[in-house]
Amino acid sequence: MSLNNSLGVNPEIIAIDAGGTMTDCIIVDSEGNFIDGKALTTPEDESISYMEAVRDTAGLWGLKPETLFPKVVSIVYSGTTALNALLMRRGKRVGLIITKGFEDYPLMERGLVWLGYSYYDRLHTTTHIHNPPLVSRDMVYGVSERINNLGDIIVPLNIDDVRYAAEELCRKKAEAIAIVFLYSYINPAHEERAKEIVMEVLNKYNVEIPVVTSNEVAPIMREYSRLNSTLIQAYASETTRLHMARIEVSSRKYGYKGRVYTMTAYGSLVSIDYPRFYETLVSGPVGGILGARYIGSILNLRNIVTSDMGGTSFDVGIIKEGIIPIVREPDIARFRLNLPAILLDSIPGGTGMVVRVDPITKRILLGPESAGSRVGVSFEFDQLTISDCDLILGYLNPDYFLGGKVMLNKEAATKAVAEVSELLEKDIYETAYGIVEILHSRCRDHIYSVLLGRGYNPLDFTLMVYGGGGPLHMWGFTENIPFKNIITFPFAAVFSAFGIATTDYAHRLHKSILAYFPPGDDEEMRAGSGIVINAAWEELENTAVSIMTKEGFDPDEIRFRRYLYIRYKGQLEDIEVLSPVDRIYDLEEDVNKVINAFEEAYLRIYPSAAKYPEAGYLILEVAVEAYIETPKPRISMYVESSREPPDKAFKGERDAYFNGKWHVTPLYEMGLLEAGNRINGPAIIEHPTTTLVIPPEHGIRFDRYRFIWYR
Amino acid sequence: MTRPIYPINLIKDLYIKRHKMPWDTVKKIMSSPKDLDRFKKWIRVLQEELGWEEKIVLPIHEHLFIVNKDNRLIVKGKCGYEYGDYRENWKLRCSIYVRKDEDSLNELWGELLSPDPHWTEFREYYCPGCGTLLDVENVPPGYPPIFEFLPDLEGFYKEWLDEEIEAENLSFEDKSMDLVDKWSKELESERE
Repeated sequence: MSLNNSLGVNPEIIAIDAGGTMTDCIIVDSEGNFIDGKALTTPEDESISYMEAVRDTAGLWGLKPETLFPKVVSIVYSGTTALNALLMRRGKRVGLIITKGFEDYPLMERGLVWLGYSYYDRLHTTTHIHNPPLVSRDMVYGVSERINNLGDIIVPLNIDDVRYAAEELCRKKAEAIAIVFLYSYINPAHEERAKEIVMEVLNKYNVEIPVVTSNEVAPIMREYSRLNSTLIQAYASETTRLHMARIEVSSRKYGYKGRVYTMTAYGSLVSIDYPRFYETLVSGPVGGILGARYIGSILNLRNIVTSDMGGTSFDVGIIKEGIIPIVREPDIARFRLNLPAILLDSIPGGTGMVVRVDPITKRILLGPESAGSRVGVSFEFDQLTISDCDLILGYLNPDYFLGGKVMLNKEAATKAVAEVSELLEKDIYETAYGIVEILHSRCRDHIYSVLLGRGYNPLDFTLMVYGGGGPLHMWGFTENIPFKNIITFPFAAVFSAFGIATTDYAHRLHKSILAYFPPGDDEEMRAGSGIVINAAWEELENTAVSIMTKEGFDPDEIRFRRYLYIRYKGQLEDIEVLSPVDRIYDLEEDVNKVINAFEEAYLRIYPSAAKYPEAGYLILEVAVEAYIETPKPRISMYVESSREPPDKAFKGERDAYFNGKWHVTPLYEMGLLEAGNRINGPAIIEHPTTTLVIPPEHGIRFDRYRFIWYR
Repeated sequence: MTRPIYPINLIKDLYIKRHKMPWDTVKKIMSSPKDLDRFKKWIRVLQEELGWEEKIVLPIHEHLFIVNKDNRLIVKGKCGYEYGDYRENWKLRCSIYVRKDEDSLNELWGELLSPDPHWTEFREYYCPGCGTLLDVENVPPGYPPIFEFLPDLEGFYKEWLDEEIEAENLSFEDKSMDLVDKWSKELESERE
């Protein structure tokens, strides 16, 4: 990161990661240099915090919005509006038309009453509860129709039922209508016909509201998550579009000429005209893993584990052979959705976590609540948090939190820890260290379970540490895990926003199909399945091209990645396979390539004894990712200077507590350390947005990109 | 700060507002460890809200409480109805409706959907004071009324609350059958 204040800079990309608490901003210039800044998020109108964050950041280059925006080529905004609308139940008044007999589905929710709960609460069934439904029961209408699992019409669509439902919903002043029928992903005829009838009725009454069918939004099997996806598209997505439009308007006011893009949960950019807007429901945490992949491509690292520690949660992601795994049925805001999303395993674990003691068992309980931007008792919160412990152990500088914008009260923190230590009858610093160690061991266990659960060995992976709390606790949560390398960054606190700036413009489309490669070489079956797969890919590619052309891209620039979801017949779960072929032309060679790719992926997870080719290979879903490469931030390279850090970077000493002892610990200023510098622990490196703690017997090295290698 | 502390007003709301409290608040209370003096606070709230002269010793049901009346521990309903000695199953003194034939079971499930009355019966226990349905038991015919909860009051007060409890009928033994014996003898003598 270079902080040159020259007025000759050419800002090119603005990337924003708006979280519940802070809005992070990164501005990248045409050289790839970037600067970062922050503002408090204003959930009621995000265009306000957006402008604040941009102003705060641009100021570092001496730019004002008037001089900044006309030069900017691309703006990427990843926000929380839709999620908030969903959480606060402030969406549209939705009406639902569904297959008769399934009217209570939004209430029954497949029995998933514990989604989003901690393990502790999952065990306590008394706390289990159904979501307040997105659509009230009196706005749900069942219609007679049935299509079976092969796409055949078993009961024809009762047109009168549909018309009656539409009339009633009009009368009840629905603000959006969702249509969800069983097996519409195989045969959408009934949904399409129902939509036509609903549109006729709406036109008759001169009502203009969105009508969403499930086959447009998520043509994927598993009707419950398809229902949720369709409802959320109707319920919350249009509101988000409105917020995004405001952000576009306020940018254009200052002379911006392009579009404002946002992020999907699977890590691609889309413009605000994108039809399946519900896919942008959560995207903030996804930025980090994309940034990690980008840095991996610079450093030539193919296997990466990412760890993001913020105030509330600890997210672990995996990049294997340069590929980011996708889940297709994630749980978001207590809803299970049909939505391809980047796989991030998240546990409560952050610097803002509340520390409590069970009065009976005297066990220390962490979280899951977080103090958020109120830090802890040392600032504006009324309960002890991890940050308070970090403070009294000497890791945090009370006068340099957020670069000195926030003063921390060490006395209050000491008093709060003393209360716990009295109860436990232990030394106060030993107690604080123990609390921090609980957080560390929890995060360590989490990293282990994510890696080992997929059959991966930490020795093959490089760990990238980011998030505001990442560098602060890295030494603890990486202890004794034999990673190949551990890397963190001076800009760790805004890494997600950085990642957003590295994202390609892309759409990912999924389709359920029925294809089967039997064991042996049954030519006829192979040919039939090949036709089905090729046709599905072609359909998805055409849809993607038509969407992207409408968005103003040159169809010749669009490139594709194709995916197959394969399982041995009879299994319940499948595995995502990046297709090694564009189309299945040769029934011998191409099919074998696909099967080999699957078995290779399968053997990475299961032992070879679990292979079962005798069952044949079943493919129930395919996907296409259509992407266009966008300009990315460039990472500056520096000439490596001496191993000794420069004198100007040394800013004093402080006592810090490690392993039962106080150590005199030298302090450095992150921004003044140079490429090539090495520092041995104990040492603490401070930065306005984060603190890097190095315990005794460990050390760090700044490489030529000024990335920080920890050992 | 590190121990959960619940203001008395919040505990009071648990009683007064009941199902109308915001779910987030209720969930938080359910998932957190209890405060050490919760029992005493709860008794204080109940005592205030019910306005009884007798001291409440232990709540055993939404509607039922063990109270100390004239140095005897008895079960008392929210409506004021007194059930008698706490060591006797309060169900014995309820108004009871038993569904043990097809007609009465069909009222609930409809024809052909009801359980077989040869195998099972349903006993509905109502408070004689106010008619509140207190419990429903589903047992084989002839099974004695289930005594849900006989507390070891002496042990509970001593070991958990560090207090002594005094009453003339304090003991940890089930007296229900004594009551049934007494009643059957009375019946016999009436018949004679």
